[in-house]
Amino acid sequence: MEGIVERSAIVIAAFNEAAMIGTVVASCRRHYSMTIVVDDNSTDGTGAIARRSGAILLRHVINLGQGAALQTGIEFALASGALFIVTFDADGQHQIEDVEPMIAVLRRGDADVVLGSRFLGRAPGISLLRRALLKAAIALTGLTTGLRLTDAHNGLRAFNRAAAQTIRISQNRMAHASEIISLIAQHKLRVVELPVTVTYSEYSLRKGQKTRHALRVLADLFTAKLSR
Amino acid sequence: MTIKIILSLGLIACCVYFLVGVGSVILLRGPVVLIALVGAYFVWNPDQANVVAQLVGIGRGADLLLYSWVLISIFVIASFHVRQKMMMDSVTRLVRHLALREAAGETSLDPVGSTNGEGDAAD
Repeated sequence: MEGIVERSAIVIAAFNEAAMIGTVVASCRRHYSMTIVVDDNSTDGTGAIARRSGAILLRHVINLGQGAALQTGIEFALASGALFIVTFDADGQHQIEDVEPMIAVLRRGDADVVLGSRFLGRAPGISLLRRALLKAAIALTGLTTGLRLTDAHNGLRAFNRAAAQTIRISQNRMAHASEIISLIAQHKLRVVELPVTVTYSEYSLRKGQKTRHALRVLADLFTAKLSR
Repeated sequence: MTIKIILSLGLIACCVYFLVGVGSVILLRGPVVLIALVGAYFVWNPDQANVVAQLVGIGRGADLLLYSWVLISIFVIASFHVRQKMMMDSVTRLVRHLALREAAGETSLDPVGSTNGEGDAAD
C-alpha cells in the first residue's frame, strides 16, 4: 500500500496562499509524500512555507497563471515516475480524504480521469449566483464537448499516467479548466465523476474567481482556437 | 497625383512586409495583401469604389471604405491577440523549463520581485 501511495502525486498550484498553504500541504503530506507545490511567483512567502511544510517546491520566476502552474507540476510528477496525479486547490476548499477514492477508481482501471463533483457531493457556503454560473458553465461545456458532467470546473481531478501525458494544458489562466474538459473529450479519455466536498470559506471566496473573469475565459478559449 | 503615388507606395510596402516579414499566422498574410491590392486599385480608380459600394447596397464609396476599415481593424486587433498568445506560450515554456531544472537541482533561481500580472486562485 505504501508503495502505491508514494507513486501518487498531489499537484498544487499556489499564488499568494501563505495563509493556507501550510495547512493544505500538511494535510496532503499525511497521505501522500509526493506533494508538489508550484509557486506561481508569489510575493507573500507561499513558496517558503510550502517547502517548510514538506512540499516539493517548484517556482515560476514570473506569474503565469493556475493552468500553467498545474502543467508544470504535472510534468514534474510524470518525470518523477508518478502513476496517478491529482490536482488539488491551495486555498483549503478541497478535502484530502476525497482523493483516495478517486485514485482507487484509476487503480482499478475503471477510468483514465476522475473528476470531483461538488454537486454530487457537498458545497457548503456556495452562493446562489455562483451555483447558477457553474451550472451555466456545465451546460456550455456539455454543448461544446459532448460530455455530460455535473461539475466541469472543479479543481480536484485525478489522472492516470497515460491521461496526464495526453492532456497538455496550454491555457495559462482561468480557461484551463474548460480546456481540460475539451482535451478529455478530444482524446476520448474515460472519465468518471465522484462526489467531493468543496468548502467555501470567507478566505476562499475572497481569493476565488470573480464573475467578470468568465468573459475573459471565453476570450482566451476563442484566441486559442484562432492560433491553431 | 502625388498623394496617389504616396498611398500606392505605402500599400506596396505593406504587401512586401506581410509577404516576407510576418510569422506563421497565415490568417493575416493573405487578406492583408489582398486588401492592399484592392486599396491600391481604388486609389487610382476612385469612381470604382462608388460602383462597388452600390453593388453591395452601400450608398457611397467612402462609406464602403469606412466600413471596410472598421472590419479590418477588428481583424488586426484579433491577430495581435493571437500573436500575443503565441509569444506567451514561448515564455511559458521557458519559465517551466527553469522551474523544472531548479527542482532537479540543475540550477538556482532568484525570485523576480512582484508579479507582472493578476494571479489566479482556485474556484
